[in-house]
Amino acid sequence: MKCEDIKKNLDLYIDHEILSKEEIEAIDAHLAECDDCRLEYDEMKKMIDELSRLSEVELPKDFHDNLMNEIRKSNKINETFFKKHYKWAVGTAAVLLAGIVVTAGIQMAPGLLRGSSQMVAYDERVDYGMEAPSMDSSKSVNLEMTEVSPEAMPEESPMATNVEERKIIKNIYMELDTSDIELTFNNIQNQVNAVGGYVEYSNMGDYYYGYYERTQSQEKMRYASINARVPSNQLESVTAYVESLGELRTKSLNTVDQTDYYYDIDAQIENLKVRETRLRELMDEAKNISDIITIESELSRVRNEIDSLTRNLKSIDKNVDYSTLNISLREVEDSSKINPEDRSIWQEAKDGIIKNINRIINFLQSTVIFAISYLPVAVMGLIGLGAVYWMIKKTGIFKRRMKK
Amino acid sequence: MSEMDIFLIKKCVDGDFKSFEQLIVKYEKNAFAIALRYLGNYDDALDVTQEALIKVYKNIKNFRFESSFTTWLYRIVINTSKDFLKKNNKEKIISIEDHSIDLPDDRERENPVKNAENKELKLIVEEALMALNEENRIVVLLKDIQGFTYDEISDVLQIPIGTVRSRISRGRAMLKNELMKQNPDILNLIG
Repeated sequence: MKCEDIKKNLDLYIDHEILSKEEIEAIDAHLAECDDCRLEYDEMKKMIDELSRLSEVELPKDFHDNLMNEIRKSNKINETFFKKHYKWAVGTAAVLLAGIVVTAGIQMAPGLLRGSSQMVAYDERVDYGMEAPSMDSSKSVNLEMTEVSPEAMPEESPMATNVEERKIIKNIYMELDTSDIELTFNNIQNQVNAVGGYVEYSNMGDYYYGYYERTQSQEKMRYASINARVPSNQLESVTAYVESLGELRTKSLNTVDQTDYYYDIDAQIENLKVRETRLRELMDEAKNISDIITIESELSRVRNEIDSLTRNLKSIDKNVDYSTLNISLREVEDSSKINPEDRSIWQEAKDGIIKNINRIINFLQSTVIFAISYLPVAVMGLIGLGAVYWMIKKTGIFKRRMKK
Repeated sequence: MSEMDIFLIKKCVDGDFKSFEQLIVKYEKNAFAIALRYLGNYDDALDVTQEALIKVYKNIKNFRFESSFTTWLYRIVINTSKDFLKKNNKEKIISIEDHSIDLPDDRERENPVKNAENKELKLIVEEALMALNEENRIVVLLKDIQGFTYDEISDVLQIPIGTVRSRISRGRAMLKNELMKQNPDILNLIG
């Protein structure tokens, strides 16, 4: 081996890499003979020894802890987000807390609120009485309360192809304000008769309009009520006509589905009829008196039952065929007319002021009651807020310590 | 790769922070040594090592168990160091302070007078190493400082073994030249 080859492979020889056993032996032999290559080898060895000393390094003592803290920090982005936006977070928490407190409070003191809502309802009624022609608002309120859903309206003429005809009883209740109660009262009755219905009950009387407020004038106004039965297939046209006669305040529909009950009775009647026929046959064959008497009494019982059940069916049929229409009428001043004002403006204003002062007193009273009764809830809320603040402060300190 | 490492890595992937700590504590020092000898600046090396080990943590779920964990880890350290050099372009800045550990080895205990000389020698070697270009420096430090095999170096740097071999050879020759420049007699001082 030449020195050139030795020097080329010296690194591999030193590193114990790649070379075959033969190559290593050859280099061994050469190094033992060649001083030049020997020197080269020794120098290289010394240099590598010296380099290996550089592997010893010193890490700062806090390197590991710092690293772990950094990783934890990068790991908890949410935490830093919270830290960055903690003001918002606290605000949101406070609002949420307040919401919870108020909600809890409402649930804890339902009587209080119910009381106040009753008060409102009462006030409205009073207002209504005083400012009679403000019909629009009360109309909308009442209509909202009405439960007339389109699905609940059954078809007026059930299909004849149906094996089981639906037996649905419909009741409609309407409240109406009208300026001419007598005319409306008569018009409704005429219309009911015209469509083939009949009036079961009607009544008209006086009531003191604005009973609570207008004690001075005590204007007499009238009310009326009509209970009518109209053919079911005419119900819609009649109610539409009634609605056109005045301001509709309430309209509610109530349906009772008697189909199952109806056909149960129907089947019962069929069974009883079969039994009746059997009894008649037995009667023909009966020889002695006691048998005849027994059969006869049984037969009359069955017959009675059949009759009774048939009457039930007829009653249902009648109720199904003729829907019930209950109408309440109330006479009001015509909103389109400008009424001559008999009361002085000053009187009105005075009444208004007194009423409003009373309202303010009521409001202050209920506020004080509210504030006192909610005191425990407020204390709880403050404790909660304090806890949140404490936590934030704690995490803040924690963060700063980590940063160091 | 030891069974223990595999176990710890799997627990890390499941989000067990403690396992990562147990795993990484074994390799911190070597990772730092590589970064230090590659970058030549103590503080930069600390920063880079930390950055690299955070990368290791964040990417451990992507570790495929195909190569050894150490290979993968040191590759991240080296790549982070390379990125750092690219970004800061201060390849040539050499740390003046010597932070390397000064455990008195046998030579020094026998001959305290030589202690100072050895320190001086160490500094010269450090400076010579930093005089090498990046490519050669990294193979020399992996081979002669960290004691990696050619195969391991090939794995970590993802270069063919022939390239490893030629770079080691060239790197050592250049290093020797640098040392001779400092002091033609330097290699006789050693040992």
